[in-house]
Amino acid sequence: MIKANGIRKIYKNGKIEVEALKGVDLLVEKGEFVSIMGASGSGKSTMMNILGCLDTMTSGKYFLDGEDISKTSGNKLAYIRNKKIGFVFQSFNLLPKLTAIQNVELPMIYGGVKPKERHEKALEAMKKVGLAERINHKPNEMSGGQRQRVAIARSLVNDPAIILADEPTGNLDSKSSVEIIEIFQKLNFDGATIVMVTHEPDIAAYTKRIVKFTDGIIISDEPVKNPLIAEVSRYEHN
Amino acid sequence: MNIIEQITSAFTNVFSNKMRTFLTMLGIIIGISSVIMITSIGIGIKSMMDSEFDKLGSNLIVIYLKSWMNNVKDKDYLTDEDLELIKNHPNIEYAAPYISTSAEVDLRNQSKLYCSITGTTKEYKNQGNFELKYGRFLNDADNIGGTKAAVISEWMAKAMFGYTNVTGKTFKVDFDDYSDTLTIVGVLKSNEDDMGFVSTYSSGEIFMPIKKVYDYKDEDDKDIIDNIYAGVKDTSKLTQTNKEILRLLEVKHNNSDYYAIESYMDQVKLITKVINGITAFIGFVAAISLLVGGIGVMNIMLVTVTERTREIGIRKSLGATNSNIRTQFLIEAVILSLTGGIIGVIIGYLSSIGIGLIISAAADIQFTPVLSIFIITLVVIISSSIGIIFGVYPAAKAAKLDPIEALRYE
Repeated sequence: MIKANGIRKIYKNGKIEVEALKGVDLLVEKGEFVSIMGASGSGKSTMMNILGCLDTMTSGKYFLDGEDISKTSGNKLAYIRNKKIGFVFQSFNLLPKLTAIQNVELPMIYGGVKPKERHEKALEAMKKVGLAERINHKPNEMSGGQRQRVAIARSLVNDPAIILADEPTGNLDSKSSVEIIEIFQKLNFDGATIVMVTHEPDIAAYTKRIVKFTDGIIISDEPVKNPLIAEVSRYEHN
Repeated sequence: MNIIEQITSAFTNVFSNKMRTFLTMLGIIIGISSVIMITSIGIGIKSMMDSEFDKLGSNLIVIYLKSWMNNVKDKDYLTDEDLELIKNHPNIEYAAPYISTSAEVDLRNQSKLYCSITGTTKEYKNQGNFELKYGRFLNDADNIGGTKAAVISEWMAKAMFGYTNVTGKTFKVDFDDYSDTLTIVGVLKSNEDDMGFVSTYSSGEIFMPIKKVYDYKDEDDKDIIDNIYAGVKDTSKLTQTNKEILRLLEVKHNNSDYYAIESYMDQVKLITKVINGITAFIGFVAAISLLVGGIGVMNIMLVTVTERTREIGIRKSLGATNSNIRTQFLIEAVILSLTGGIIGVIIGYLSSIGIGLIISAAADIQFTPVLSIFIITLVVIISSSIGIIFGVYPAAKAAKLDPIEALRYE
């Protein structure tokens, strides 16, 4: 699904050059659930931005879903973001003036999906995250966990090749975090490919593989032997 | 994303901050409403004038000898031959002679009414806003015979006989040293306002066959025509026609610059020029206020772009292209200025109606401001253009934002 070779990213700030990524190779197969960990400044966010086609790399090769996007730019990148990538952000990034379902419909609007189909698909996605009852609520009428679930529904709705989650539980309490992870695990079980940045080992323990970044390179890349199963009911018992 | 969705979403965004939107639109509203107000009143005055002059006969020209000139000789006076000459000009519809004298008539209340007696022919009724109430106007037979036929106005009939249907009646006209008895052949309709009482300052007008009126004049004045009233067929050739007629007369009388032609069209043109000048000046002032309004739109759009940096980042991360973002902000700017424009049209027209009522009451006339489709179309185009012109820069700024930076923006 993701095949990145020798990804380098150099930020230039006046005369100072900072090499955020120093030649990273990463392979993510379809159906994986990968955690990317690392201290701040380790290059994990830069990597996520490049994987998400929000940023361009200085050199290297990147294939997403079989497509070489090392050289693409502009509208084509917007198209790839729209069709192949679903973002989930730490701060949810919902549009406050729109209702939950309108937020979920947004990627399909840019994808040119017709209104009726759009509404149906958005409703379906909202059901998947367990918020079918709250489609007409505005983000500020929802809890953090619910907002993040709306964001997940939004990321799903164009059937992306990959879901990129950047610290999705960073702003949530532990119960909501487990809820979110539970949804991710369910989606992953149904075949979704997920790459998630986190700095919490507890959260990473729910994924199938952990990739650790330090100073712009990957220092370890290991499968998780027995991933935890996120079940809110069990969490509540404990 | 189709255009209707973009427009609805832009409406939601623009009107989510009502106070700000209103204040932003205010500049446009003031500019557009003053344009509309001034043009509606201007067009209204013009069309009122047109209809007034139409009543008088806007194609009317009056030809006369400048009798105050030095060395005016007998041969220079206008005569029947000149009338025929003018009648035969291809662009002349009709021509009527005009001479006048004065007399007094007795009224029912024992007082006397001063009257001017106009001697003319049947053609004369083409030029004025005559409407016959009873009987007929002068005809050829009256002039061939030089009969004592008279056409008077309704209010005179009322003052003389106590009622208005007086065709066939006779009455006496007193000149300085003799008097004559005339037969009424027609009664002209009068304004309601004129039907009331007759004051000492009133003066009547009696139309009679020119041939008969010569009898009341001095021997010297026989066969001389004071003025010739003529109607021009094609008023667009008015200036040319006037020149040609003057030339004809000069050649015939072998003189130069002895004749003058006045036309209502000239007066209409002059007044129209003045109104156009005033309209253009106020239009210019309004244009400045529109410019200020446009800058207001740009200012607020720039603020909006900054405020919504994060939203732009989110939209881009979800697959919005630069042109999606640009269109979104451009549409919002156009909605701002176009809505302002439409409100301006409404306010401008309402105030022109208000001012129209004041003018009507003050000047005792029937004045209606005119809102032309052309002006509305122009306003829509202008205010949309303001939106586009002053929205392009903020929209481009929004479109160019880097998605990562934008997402990070707090």
